[in-house]
Amino acid sequence: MTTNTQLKTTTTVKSTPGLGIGGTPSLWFILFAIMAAVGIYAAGTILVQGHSALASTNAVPWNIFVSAYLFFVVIASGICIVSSLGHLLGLEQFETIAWRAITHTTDSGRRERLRPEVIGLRAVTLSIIILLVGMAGILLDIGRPLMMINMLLSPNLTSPMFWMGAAYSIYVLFLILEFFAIRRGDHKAVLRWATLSLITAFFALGTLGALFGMLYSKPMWFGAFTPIYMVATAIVSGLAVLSLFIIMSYQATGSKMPSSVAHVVSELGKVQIFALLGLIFMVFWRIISYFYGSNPDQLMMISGDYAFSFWTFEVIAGLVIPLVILANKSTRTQTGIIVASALIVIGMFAARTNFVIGGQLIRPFEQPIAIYTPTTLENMYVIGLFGFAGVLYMLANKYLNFEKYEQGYNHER
Amino acid sequence: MRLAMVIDLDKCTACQACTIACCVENNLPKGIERTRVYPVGPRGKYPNISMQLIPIGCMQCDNPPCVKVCPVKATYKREDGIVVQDNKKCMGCKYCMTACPYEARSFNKYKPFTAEYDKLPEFINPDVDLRPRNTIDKCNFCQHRIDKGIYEPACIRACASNARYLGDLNDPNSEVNKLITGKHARPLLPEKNTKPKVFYVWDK
Amino acid sequence: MKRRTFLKTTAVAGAFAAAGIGSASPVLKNLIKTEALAGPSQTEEWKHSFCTGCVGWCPLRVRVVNGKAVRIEGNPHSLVNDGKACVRSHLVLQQLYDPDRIKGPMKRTNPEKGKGIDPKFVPVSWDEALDTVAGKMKELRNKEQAHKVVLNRGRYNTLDVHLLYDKFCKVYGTPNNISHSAICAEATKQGRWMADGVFDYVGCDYEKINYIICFGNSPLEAHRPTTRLVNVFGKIRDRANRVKIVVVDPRFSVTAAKADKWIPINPGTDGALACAMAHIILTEGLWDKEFVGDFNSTELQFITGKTIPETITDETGEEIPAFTENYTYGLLKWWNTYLKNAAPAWAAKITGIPEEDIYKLAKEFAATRPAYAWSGRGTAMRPNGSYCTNAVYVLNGLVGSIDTDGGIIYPSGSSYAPDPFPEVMDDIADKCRKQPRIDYRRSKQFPNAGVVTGRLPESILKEDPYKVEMILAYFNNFNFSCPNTAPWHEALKKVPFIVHITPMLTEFTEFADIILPTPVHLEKWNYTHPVKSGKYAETYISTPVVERLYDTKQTSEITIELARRIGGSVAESFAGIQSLEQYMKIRLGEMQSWDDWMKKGIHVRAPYKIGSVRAKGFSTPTGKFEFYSETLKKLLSERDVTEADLKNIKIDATGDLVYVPHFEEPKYLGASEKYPLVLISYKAALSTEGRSGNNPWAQDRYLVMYGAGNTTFAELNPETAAKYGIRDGDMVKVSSDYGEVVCPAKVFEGIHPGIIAMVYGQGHWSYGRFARGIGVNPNDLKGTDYDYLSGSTSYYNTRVKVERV
Ligand SMILES: Nc1nc2c(c(=O)[nH]1)N[C@H]1C(S)=C(S)[C@@H](COP(=O)(O)OP(=O)(O)OC[C@H]3O[C@@H](n4cnc5c(=O)[nH]c(N)nc54)[C@H](O)[C@@H]3O)O[C@H]1N2
Ligand SMILES: Nc1nc2c(c(=O)[nH]1)N[C@H]1C(S)=C(S)[C@@H](COP(=O)(O)OP(=O)(O)OC[C@H]3O[C@@H](n4cnc5c(=O)[nH]c(N)nc54)[C@H](O)[C@@H]3O)O[C@H]1N2
Ligand code: SF4
Ligand code: SF4
Ligand code: SF4
Ligand code: SF4
Ligand code: SF4
Ligand SMILES: [Mo]
Repeated sequence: MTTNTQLKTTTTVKSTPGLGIGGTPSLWFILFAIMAAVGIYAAGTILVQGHSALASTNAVPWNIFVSAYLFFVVIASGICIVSSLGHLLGLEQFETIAWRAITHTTDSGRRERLRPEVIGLRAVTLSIIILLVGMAGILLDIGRPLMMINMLLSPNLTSPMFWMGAAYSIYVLFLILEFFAIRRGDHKAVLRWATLSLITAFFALGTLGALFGMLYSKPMWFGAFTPIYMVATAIVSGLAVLSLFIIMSYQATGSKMPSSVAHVVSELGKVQIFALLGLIFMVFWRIISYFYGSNPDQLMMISGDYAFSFWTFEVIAGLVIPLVILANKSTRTQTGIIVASALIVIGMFAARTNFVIGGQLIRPFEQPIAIYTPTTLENMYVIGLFGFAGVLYMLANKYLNFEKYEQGYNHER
Repeated sequence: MRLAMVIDLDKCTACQACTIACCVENNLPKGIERTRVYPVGPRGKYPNISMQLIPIGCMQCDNPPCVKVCPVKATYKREDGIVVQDNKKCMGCKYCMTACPYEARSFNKYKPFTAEYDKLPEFINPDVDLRPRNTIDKCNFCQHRIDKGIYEPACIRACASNARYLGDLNDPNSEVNKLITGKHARPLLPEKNTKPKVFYVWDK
Repeated sequence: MKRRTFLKTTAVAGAFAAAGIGSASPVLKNLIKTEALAGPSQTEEWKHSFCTGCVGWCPLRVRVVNGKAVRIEGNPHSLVNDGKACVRSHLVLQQLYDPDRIKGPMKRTNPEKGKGIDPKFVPVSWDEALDTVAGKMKELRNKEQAHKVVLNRGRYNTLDVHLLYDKFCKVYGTPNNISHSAICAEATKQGRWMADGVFDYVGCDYEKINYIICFGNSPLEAHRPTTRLVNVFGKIRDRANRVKIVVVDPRFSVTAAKADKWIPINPGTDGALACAMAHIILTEGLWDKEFVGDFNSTELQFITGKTIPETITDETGEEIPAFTENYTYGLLKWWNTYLKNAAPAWAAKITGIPEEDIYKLAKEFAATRPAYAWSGRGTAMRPNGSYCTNAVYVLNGLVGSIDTDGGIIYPSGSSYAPDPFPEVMDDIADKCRKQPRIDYRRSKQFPNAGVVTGRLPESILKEDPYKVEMILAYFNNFNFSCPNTAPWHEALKKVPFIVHITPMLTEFTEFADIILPTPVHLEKWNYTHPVKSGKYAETYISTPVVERLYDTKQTSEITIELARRIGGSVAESFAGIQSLEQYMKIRLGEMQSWDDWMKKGIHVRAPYKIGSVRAKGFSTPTGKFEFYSETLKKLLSERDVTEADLKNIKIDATGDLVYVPHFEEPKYLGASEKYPLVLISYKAALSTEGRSGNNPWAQDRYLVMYGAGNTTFAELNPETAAKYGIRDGDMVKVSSDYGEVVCPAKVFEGIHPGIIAMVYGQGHWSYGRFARGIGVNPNDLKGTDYDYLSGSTSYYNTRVKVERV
């Protein structure tokens, strides 16, 4: 069993300058609260004005709320998968964030019995929050949200959207049950709900991929590749977000990160290398296929209107630089992981926009490529979604006290 | 019965009477068109250029992706082959729009007519519901007329050059079948395999 | 208002209320169901009216449900239109229910006038408005200044022409009834008149045509009557021998897109192309022997550059004409004075069309009969447009497409019963009527003009021949629709008293002192007949299809009211008219019974018998179809027009050339060094002249070729655009000696590199909410010029430049 030496020395924030973001949590909270307020204002305006407030058109019916939705729910699924994956693959060092109890060698060489939920509570809560935020995103892109009741009254079994809706509803249910099981300390229930939520996470990701992948009207979305791509991006973004939140939470509060957690974070960084490599493999061949295909939508990505966003954000910032940072031992510090993870998240957001919006811009009958530029309100709401996530997470962090929970388990024994 | 339409592009004058008559008949608010004339081209360089102006709307696909993807069955194919929209059910998710290869569906962003008028204008056709806001609009072959036995949609009535035809694909003697065989009318984007039931006669 | 209470009781209203329509408080509209059932129809009727969108005046059936007009269809009894109505007919609904219509009479309270100056109109009663107008007219009449009242009209209908334009003007005593005809298409009539003596639009047996060349018109977008033209297009494309269509236009029009061939031409050079085609038809021996005749010797033929003797000697040594013409006159004179040198190589240089293409076009045209050489405003409404049009028109003579199946035909018009109420002329009327007309029609300057609309600003500003004291105007918007809008604004500013009869507040109305609001299409009693276009002469009637929406009076009602208030002989002339309905019954009564009118809304006359004009002779001095225009010669001598006078009116030809179809160098406004491009404007299919700007149905899809609406583009060839560093969508400034506009550029392969094309109909700075501030008006850029022969205003000869802003 390996222990990460770097992390051993940087388990407290006090000794780490970090990114200068180790301010008081209240500053962060205020920032997120402002963002959330902006979002609430935008949401209110959009609800009153209706969809005329959105920049979507008949050619580009889905707006950035859909890409934000995709961004958030994939992360939510990713967190669940990542926190369970270690166990599934038998990677012991991963299990700290998983649902099963394991033993762990501490810094002092003492093998400790860890309670399974070490950061499981954090992961589950985060997953729930992010999922809800994603759903808040899509809600405003639905013309008549109240009519979603018809999903129950008049379901269409051939619709990927129906299955996606079903899958994510069940998924969130399982997560909530798992959450309470963890809080109760009911290990058996945790095991049960966590297994189920993991399965639904995969299924949900599949339906999400199918939502896009089954549309032969949109060449960029169409294909069996899309669900697989969703899973790959889920793992990468799940890893990134989890690491980011764990490290930054500790940095922000200035409390000491238990060695076990520090260890896990370090391991997450290493796993991310492989996840990134996998994703880069997929994206690489997609790019190659773009060069070969040279269809208008593909050219738009590699050399047209979306080229900047694609190359700069999706590929270089979102994949290449993080890989370099993480692959290099000297840069794989906590700070390094923060930077890499943040870049991945930014890149992923760009990738979602490129995918959802870019995928719609190509029009039939030789028509010029469609145009979509989000309105200020739309941008405000997306900012708000991040604010919601931040506020909710910080509240959860405070009231559920993840750190104490994690540390408590570490030192109680 | 399988209702189908043929549009003879050699007779069509790109006048847009179909578009506007449809707006009139179906109470379509600003920004919504059920059939729209698309300029395709120009191909070539001055002075040797060509261009097609093609009225395009819902193709009433026999294998309609929009129907497959709608999560709540708010759009479905009727027995006579018309793909209709049930806006009492529609939740406005716009999935059908992204699924349609023909851009045939529109999203009704505005409360009907409020985008352009202070109050509801008086030329509303009482035979047709006002389009509910935040739902989908599409050509339904003027289902309200068909249901009354009027097999002449508004666009066909309005087409001054008689370039549009409606008929029964199952009837080998129908005008549409004659045009399909005699004038080689064929659908747009057949490769999408949606089995469209709107056919086009190309010029010359 | 009755209408309102009616609305309240209908299910429609209830449903709208349920849908929250009109509720002011912001509710979460996105979350509530906005469905509304329109409700069952209570009363449903189809009523007759006609469209006043253009000279088609197509008869309409209007579906009226619960007292509201909800749908427009063509009148199925019409043989001209085959029961159809063109795309613009539907706009009638948005014109009727236009939210920006004028709701009642108004008067100006701001004495200052000018573009952009708020007139501060305030509502007044009809009595006050009519008394003010009649008072002013009476005062001027009493001062023997009736001629200083100018009547303007734009689009018209026969009822108002009968009562106001003709009768009222006459008995009131003004010779200055100035219509829009000279900004419309008089030069097309003039060009045709020079050949066959008919000063009217061309009727044609389109159904049987096999070959069409469009010179300067785009019949699928405009021309007249649109309904018939698009209807017939469908028919002749669908025939076993599908018609072939060639479009000659510097702009790739919708018709060009739908045609078999597009031939871009250097602007203003259609005359050269037509003459070269005539040259080829003659040299290739392809003329119609039956209509035109033939040589009397097999040895004779038309050879480029070679003169043909007028007479030859036959075997017996007797002098006989070299060529015997049947229905035509002056072919050899034409050949010898001009055509012999009008070879395709010459025309290729002028027109920019390759020689081979000219050859091919001429041969196909002559070989694929019946063939029709059709021309429109593009060839006509420019200096010497009469000659351009004439050169094109006579091609029809050469190939025999005159008064024959599939050719140009001579249908008759409607037969209204005479007005039984005599025109009473008093001394004042007689005296004032004899004053010179301010537009100098039928002078040396405008020898054959029926009216010279474009001359108005100059006459007003220079008080030439006298000061204009008042304008009474209806259905026109001249400071928008005429080229060179700036002097129009100045002139209108100068006129002390202007009355506008209009349903909408327009640019012209902005200068008015009194606004008399008028109902539109479906609210009126009306009758009219369409422009002649086919075998059938039809007459149409309009009954009030819906109750009048606002406090308005029809133009004819206003006329009668004014006459009554002016009193004297004027009142007497109208005293017998009790109501418009009664008057209409009298004038229409001879055609068919009133019951039939009410039942059908239309009267169709027996069709024109093709060949009857050939049989009885043409209405020219020679009785023939003239290649050498004795008709013009007679006119010019009647007007005493000398060769020097011709120079003054920009005609280069001298001698016999004046009377034969020939090419005149285009004359431009603006120096080519400073202004390298020529501005061409055109009509969109959705422009109802200048009146569809406030109809969202039209606005939103105005430019079908570009899939665009709510804008005007400066349309440029890619090469031209590149030269000035302009990319598609850039904002550009287009300027001339007369004005400048800023609009987005459209870079399009279908534009001649030497021109900028701009659609007409946008750029309103008045009008309603959907029109105001949208696009630009090409007429702001154009200067004033004429086809002097016919008094027509030129639309296509202003040079401009373009730059990125
Ligand atoms: N650049 C450019 N300019 C053009 C043309 C072009 O092709 N290009 N075309 C020219 C031609 S062919 C013509 S004929 C002229 C037409 O030009 P005008 O005869 O001036 O007609 P409009 O501009 O249509 O304006 C008619 C006015 O009548 C009033 N009106 C509208 N509806 C009604 C009604 O129902 N009753 C009454 N009484 N009044 C009404 C409104 O004030 C409206 O502005 O425009 C010419 N101008
Ligand atoms: N849609 C519509 N239809 C109408 C009307 C309307 O307002 N809208 N108005 C009606 C009226 S009042 C009239 S007078 C008629 C007029 O109908 P037309 O006589 O057909 O005239 P315009 O539509 O003005 O068309 C002018 C055409 O000439 C072209 N052109 C310009 N310069 C040249 C040139 O030098 N050579 C050649 N070969 N072509 C040239 C222009 O590009 C344009 O296509 O239309 C009637 N029909
Ligand atoms: S109404 Fe007829 S002619 Fe006009 S655009 Fe539509 S199909 Fe073509
Ligand atoms: S054209 Fe589009 S909307 Fe119409 S049936 Fe086919 S897929 Fe559905
Ligand atoms: S927008 Fe309406 S019709 Fe379209 S898929 Fe969604 S629920 Fe179905
Ligand atoms: S068939 Fe009816 S609904 Fe469809 S385009 Fe024509 S008029 Fe509109
Ligand atoms: S052709 Fe002219 S009169 Fe006839 S419907 Fe069209 S706009 Fe109206
Ligand atoms: Mo005109």
